[in-house]
Amino acid sequence: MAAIEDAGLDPAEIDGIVRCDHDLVQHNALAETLGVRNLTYWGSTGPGGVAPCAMVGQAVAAILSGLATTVLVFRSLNGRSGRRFGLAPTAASQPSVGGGMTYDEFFMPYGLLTAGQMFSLIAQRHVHEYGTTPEQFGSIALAFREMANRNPRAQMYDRTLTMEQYLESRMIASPLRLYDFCLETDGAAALVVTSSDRAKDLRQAPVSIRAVCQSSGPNVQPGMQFGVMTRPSITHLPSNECAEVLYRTAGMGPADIDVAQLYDCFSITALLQLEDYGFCKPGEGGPFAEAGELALGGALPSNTSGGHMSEGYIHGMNHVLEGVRQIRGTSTSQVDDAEVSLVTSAPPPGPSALILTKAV
Amino acid sequence: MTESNLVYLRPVTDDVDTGGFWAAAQQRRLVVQACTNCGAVLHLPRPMCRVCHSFDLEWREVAQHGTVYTSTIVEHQVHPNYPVPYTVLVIELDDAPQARLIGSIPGRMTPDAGTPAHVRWETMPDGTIVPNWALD
Ligand SMILES: [Zn+2]
Repeated sequence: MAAIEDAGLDPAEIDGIVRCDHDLVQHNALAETLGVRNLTYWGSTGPGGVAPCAMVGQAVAAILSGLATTVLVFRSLNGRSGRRFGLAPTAASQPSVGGGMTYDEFFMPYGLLTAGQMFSLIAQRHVHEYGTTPEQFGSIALAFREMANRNPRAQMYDRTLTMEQYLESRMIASPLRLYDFCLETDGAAALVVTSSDRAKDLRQAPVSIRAVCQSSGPNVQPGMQFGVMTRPSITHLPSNECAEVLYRTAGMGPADIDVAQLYDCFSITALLQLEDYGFCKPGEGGPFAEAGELALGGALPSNTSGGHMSEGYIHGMNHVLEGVRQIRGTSTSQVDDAEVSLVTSAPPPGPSALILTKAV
Repeated sequence: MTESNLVYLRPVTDDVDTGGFWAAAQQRRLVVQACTNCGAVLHLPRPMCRVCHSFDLEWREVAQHGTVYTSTIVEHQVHPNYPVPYTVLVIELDDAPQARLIGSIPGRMTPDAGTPAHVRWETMPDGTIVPNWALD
C-alpha cells in the first residue's frame, strides 16, 4: 500500500502483480486484499534472491507487451519469526536427501548443508587464487555497516562495527565470520512499475529503468544451489555475463555507475560482483574494498541503506528500493548528483540486475 | 587421522538421473557419468549429453584419487548430527577434473589447493556405502 500511495495511485488501478517464487503471499490473495479491479497479468520468478531485478524485468515486459499497464512488484517474508533460511533438514523431517533433480545427494550427506557454507567454500577458493585477506572481507562488512548507521530503518542503525570487532567475531564457516553473513528479517518491500507516459502524471518524479536483464551464463548447473561447486570457476558468478548484457542494453559501462546496491547475502557475494561488474579486475575485489572505495566518496558507494548485511534481508528487494532512492535523492547516505544507479540480485543459479536513471 | 563416520543424512540412491553413481558406490567403485558418443564427462548427471545432445550415456569408472579445490571449516553447527568443527572438502577427480565431489573430515584443517586426496568408503548404519574423502 505504501508503494501505491507513494505513486499517488488508487490500488484498483493495479492490473499486474509480480511475486518472488519463495514468497508465501500469492498474487490472488494480495490482489483481493488490495481491492484490485482486474488483474490482467501475474507472474513470478526466482529462485529467491535471484528474483528482484528479474521481477522488475517481468513487469517491464508485461507493460511493453500490453499485458498490463501498472504492475506491483513485491517481496514479503518473515525471515526471523517464520521460516528461517540456512537451517538444515533433520533426519526426522527428511530421512534421505537429494533426488528429483535437487542433486542434494552429492552435497548434504557430507555436511554441506547451507548457502553460507557454500559461499564459504567460494570465499576460500578466492583466498587460494588471489590471497584475499580477512581484513578485506571485513572492510566490506564495515562499509555497509557505516551506511546502516545513517539509516534509521536499518536493523543495525544504532550498532557500530570496528575492524577489531569483526576480526574477533566468531567464525561461522572459514573464512567467513559472523559479520560476513546477512541478517534475518521480518519485512516487506514493494514498488510500482508503469510506462513512462503514465508515470509523468503520478505523484513522484519517476525513475527510469534504463536496462534490466537476467543471465544464466554458460554451464549453468542444475539443482538449487550446490551445483555451483561443479562450475568451471566458482570465483565468478554468472554476473559476468549479466554485466555484459546489462551494459550493452544500457549503452553504458562500469565507469558510468554512480552508486551500486550489490546483492550481499555474504561479503564474498558482494566482492565477486565488484569484479564481475567490472569495477575492478578479477582478484582485486578485496583490495578495492579495503581501499575504502565502497564508502561515500569512494569510487563506488555501495549498499547505501546497509544492504542485507546491515539494513535487513528482504531477499534483494530492499536493494531495488534503495537504488530508486538514490535517483530520487532521498537516501540517508545520498551520493551527490547520483544519476546512474546499479542494482543487482545474485545468488548462484543466474543473477539479474538493473540500471536506474533520472527520467528524461 | 580419525576414521569415525561423518555422513549422517542418507543420500537418495535410487534417483533416475543419479542412481548409477550410488549403485556403483555400493560396490566401492567410483564412477562418473560420461557420454559414449563424444566422451564428455557429465557431472552433475543428467539424461542427455550437454555437449552433443546424445542420450547414450554410461557410468565410467575413475580412479579414487583427486586433489583439493577448496574447503571450509564449519564452526557454527546447523544440524544436531553434524557436530562441529568439521572440514568440508571440494575434490577435483584426477581422472575427470570437470567432476567435483564433496568430502568431509572431522576437525579443522585448511589444505592448500591441489593437496592430494583419496576416497574413504563409509558404511552407514543401514548399510548404505558412501564415498567420502581423506587427505593422502
Ligand atoms: Zn556427448
